[in-house]
Amino acid sequence: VTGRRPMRVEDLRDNLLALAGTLERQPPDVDQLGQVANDREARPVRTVYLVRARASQPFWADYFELPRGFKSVGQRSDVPSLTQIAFFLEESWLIEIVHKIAAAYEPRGPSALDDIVKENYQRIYTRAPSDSELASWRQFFSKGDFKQNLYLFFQTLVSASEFYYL
Amino acid sequence: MSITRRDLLRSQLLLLPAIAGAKLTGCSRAVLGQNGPPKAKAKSLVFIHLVGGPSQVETFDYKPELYRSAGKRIAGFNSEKKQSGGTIMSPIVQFKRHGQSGAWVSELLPHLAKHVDDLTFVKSVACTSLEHMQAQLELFTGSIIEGYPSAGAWINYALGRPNGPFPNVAGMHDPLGPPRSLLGIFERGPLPNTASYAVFVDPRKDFGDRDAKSSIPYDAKRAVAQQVNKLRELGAYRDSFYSRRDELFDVSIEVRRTMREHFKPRDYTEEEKRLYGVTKYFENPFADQLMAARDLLEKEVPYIQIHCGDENEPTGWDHHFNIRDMIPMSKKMDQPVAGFLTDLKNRGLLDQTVVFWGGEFGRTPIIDEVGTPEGQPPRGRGHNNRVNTVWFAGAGLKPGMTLGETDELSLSSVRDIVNVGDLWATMLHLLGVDHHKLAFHDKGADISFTKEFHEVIRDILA
Repeated sequence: VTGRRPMRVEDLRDNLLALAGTLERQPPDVDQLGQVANDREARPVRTVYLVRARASQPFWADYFELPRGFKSVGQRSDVPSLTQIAFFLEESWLIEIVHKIAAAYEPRGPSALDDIVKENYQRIYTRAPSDSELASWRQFFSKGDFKQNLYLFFQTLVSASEFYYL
Repeated sequence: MSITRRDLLRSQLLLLPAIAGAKLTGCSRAVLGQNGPPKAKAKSLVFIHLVGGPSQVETFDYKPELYRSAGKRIAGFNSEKKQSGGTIMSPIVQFKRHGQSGAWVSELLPHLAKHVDDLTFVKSVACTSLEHMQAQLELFTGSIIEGYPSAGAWINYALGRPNGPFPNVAGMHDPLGPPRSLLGIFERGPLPNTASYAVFVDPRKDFGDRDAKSSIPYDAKRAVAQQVNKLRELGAYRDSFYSRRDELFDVSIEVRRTMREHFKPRDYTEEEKRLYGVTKYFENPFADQLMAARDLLEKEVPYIQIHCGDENEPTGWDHHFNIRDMIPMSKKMDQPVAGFLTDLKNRGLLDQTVVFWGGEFGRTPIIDEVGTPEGQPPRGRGHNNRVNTVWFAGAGLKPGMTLGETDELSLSSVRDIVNVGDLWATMLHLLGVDHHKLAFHDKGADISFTKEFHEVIRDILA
């Protein structure tokens, strides 16, 4: 697999909001356009409609590998710092998103595990899981609390590079 | 067929470190070769960067002519604003000689003045750019273009040894904001991911339990990291370049756990309060960072980069509008740095550490007439890349000496001029790294931190 690149932070944000079912797909009104620069994370409106104001990005955007469009060159690092990677593990914004995604699947219970894994590989990675990946998740879910495992399952999928790169 | 690091580990190729190392990193030349590398004089380097470029004529570069010539016009000098010539401005403070070395220090720095016999001044540092971003990038990456590895990444790569659960390089910037060059100065560039910085603002703040929601249990993070790694091994992308990103999860968790445990919020001891001039935590974040740096030095972290101030005028060192803004900034910086030096000395750490202090460039002796907002009298100084006063302290250096000199107005360096690359050649030398051999093969070409013409400043070495 070649030619992949990290998604822009807005795309990542929209993807995460969409997975959580909280992305507003309607174009924003004029007022929202005006406010977006200061209030982006609170406003689940699709970024493609909005003015991109990189100089006033939300705090969590610092943790992504941003193309630095407002600077002299648009170069970016392909591997983030340790602090950036930690965002995926412990930042409250991402954790809240993960909990929202998991909430939709929790009622289906452990018996639907295979379907949940397959469905979400399709949703998140646009492919089916391999047999070994499916086996790995079965083993993962065999111990501990289903709800907690479900959080960790989604957190893993959105943290790994396959989600992060287009 | 390309192989991953894990494949190498499995196949025990690491039993042949030289071969495996070359395969892993793509390094075209040995960094710390067997052919007589320089002997390390220091275990660690602390780089204190004064963001914006402090005025040398208000700190250490005493120029009596400036007091006499204040108000006179001079021609022939262009600042970054294309201001041609200008009016000489008298320094806002007086200077005195201090210590046995008789070094001149301004009244702004009474605490550092007591340490002059420990310091090695270089008063003739020049760089390429007159602009902050490029000058900062040049100072930390050797290039005015963004994207090249920064000093910490190079040092991490050059030393090539793990530091247990602690990071090899740590960067701390002002809580008000990072320097203008942003992450460019913490850049890893094409170096292997193991050369990454651990960047944080303040370890106690970043790693403390300030936000209950983000205090995810260690076991949960561990489980995610393990699954990420497992999927990487199982997945279709394991040999591609971005799988390297996933390898960082393990490192990140361990480093952050250790740092969090180590930097739990606590009350300062009486001695810390006295040395660093603070009474409570977060009163002066710069002092907190220096204390964190001291703790990291005790854990033998080889490189720590601290940025004092942000990019704005009153809260940084870029005093275009009013040079008197240096007064509060000097108060914020002077005692903590002096206390830091004393603290290291008392703990026996200064003998194995190099401390560097300096900005990205110096300032003009003339008034910045262009940069002042309308309606305000011009009272600041512009950028000057021809002069810059910096100092070193610690292992392997000649204490109490001064190298280089500027002209009578401190407009240009006139003797023993060094480039920022020479500073790094010297610092690398003290860490036992031959800067001429420090290179990395990337996309068909060698990239290097210093240039071929950069040399170790031998005159300041013990």
